[in-house]
Amino acid sequence: MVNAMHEWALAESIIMAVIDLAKRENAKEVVEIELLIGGLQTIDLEIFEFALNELKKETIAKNAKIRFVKQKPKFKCNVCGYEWIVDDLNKVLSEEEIESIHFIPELSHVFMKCPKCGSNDFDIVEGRGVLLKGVRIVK
Amino acid sequence: MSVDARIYRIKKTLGGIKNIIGVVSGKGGVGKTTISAVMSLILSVKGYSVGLLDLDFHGPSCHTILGIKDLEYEEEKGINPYRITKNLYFASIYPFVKDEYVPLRGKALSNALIEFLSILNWRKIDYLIVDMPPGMGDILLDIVRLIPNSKFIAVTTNSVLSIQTVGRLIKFIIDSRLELQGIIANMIRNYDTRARRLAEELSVNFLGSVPFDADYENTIGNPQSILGTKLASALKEIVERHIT
Ligand SMILES: Nc1ncnc2c1ncn2[C@@H]1O[C@H](COP(=O)(O)OP(=O)(O)O)[C@@H](O)[C@H]1O
Ligand SMILES: [Mg+2]
Ligand SMILES: [Zn+2]
Repeated sequence: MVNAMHEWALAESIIMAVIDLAKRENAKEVVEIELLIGGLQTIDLEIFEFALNELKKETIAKNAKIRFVKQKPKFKCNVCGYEWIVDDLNKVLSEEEIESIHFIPELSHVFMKCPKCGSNDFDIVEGRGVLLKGVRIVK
Repeated sequence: MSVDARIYRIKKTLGGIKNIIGVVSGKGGVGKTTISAVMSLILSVKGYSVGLLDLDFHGPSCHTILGIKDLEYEEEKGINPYRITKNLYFASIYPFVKDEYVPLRGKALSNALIEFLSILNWRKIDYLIVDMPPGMGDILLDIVRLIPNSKFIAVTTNSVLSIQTVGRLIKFIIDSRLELQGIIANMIRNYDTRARRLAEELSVNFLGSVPFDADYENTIGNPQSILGTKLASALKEIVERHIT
C-alpha cells in the first residue's frame, strides 16, 4: 500500500461539505476554508492540498484560500487519567501501524497504549486527523 | 464547526448501490457472518455484482469464511474494496489490524466506522451485504443514521433467548422506519416454530430456515465447497425466493 492516494478521498469529503454549506447559506463565493490537520493521520499535505485545489476548480469555492492548522496528537487515558502528546509517531509505532492509522486514526487504540498504565482505553483528545474547522463566505 | 464532511462522501459512494442489506441479530453466534458471506457468494455466482462489507470491527471473520489471507487494498483516490472474483468485492478492517484485538468503544468505534465508509470506493453494484456486529450498538445506530435506504435481514436460531432479543431488534428497526426484509431462522435441527411465530406476531416476512449443517465447518475457507453444502442450498432457495 503506497501512502499516497487516499488523501483524495479526504479532500473530496471536504469540498463536498464546503459546497453544500455555501449553497445552504446562499453564498456567492467561498473565500476561505480552514482545516485542522491532526498529526495522528499522517496525511501527505502536499497531495492533500493538490487534491483540494483540483476539486474546488469550477465550484463556488474555486477562489477559496485554504488554511491549515496543524495539531499534534494528544491522548488521555480513561483508566489512569494520564495525558500525553506524541511528537514523533515513528518512535512509538512501526511503519505498518502508522499506515493502518493513516487510514483509520482510531486504530491507534490497537497499536498504542497509555505510557503510564499500559491501557488501550484512551481518548484521542486532539490531533486526530482532517477536520473542517471553518468556512468563510461572501453573500 | 459541527459538520462532519465525511458523511458527504459516504452518501456519494453508497449512493450508486441498488440494494444495501444489513444482516443483524440480537445475539452473537447465531450465524450473521455465515449468512452474509454465503449469501454474497450465492448472489455473485448468480451473476449479480456484489459487495460484502464486514462491520464487526471487534471480531472480523468474513475473510476466514472466504479463505482470504493476504488481502491488501489498492488505493485510488480512496481505497478500493478487494476484488475476490470479477463481480464480488470485499471490505473489512482485517488488513489493517490482522489478528490484533480491537478495543474500540463509543465515539471511537463510530468514528472508525465513518472514516472507513468515507474512504471506500464502492462501484455501482447490485447488492452490498453488510455483516453487522450483534445487537444494538454504535455500528447499527450509525448505519441507521447514515444509510437510511438500507434494508435488514434478521437472523435468529429457534432458541427462546435468541428469539427474545431479535424481537427487540426488529421492533427497533421498524420504529426507525427502515425496511426489514424478514427473518431467517438458522441452525435449525427440527423445528423453526418459534421463529415463524415471531414473524407472525410482528407482521414481518419469514424468509426461511437454514438447517444446522455439521459438514459446513470443514468447508470454511473454501468458497467452492461451501456452495455445495446443505447450508448453502437452503440459503440459495431463500435468496431466489426473497432477495433477487
Ligand atoms: N447453519 C449452520 N450450520 C452449522 N454451523 C453453523 C451454521 N450457521 C453458523 N454456523 C456456525 O456457528 C458459529 C457462529 O456463526 P457466525 O456466522 O459466526 O455467527 P454470528 O456472526 O452471528 O456471530 C460459527 O462457528 C459458524 O460456522
Ligand atoms: Mg459475526
Ligand atoms: Zn493509563
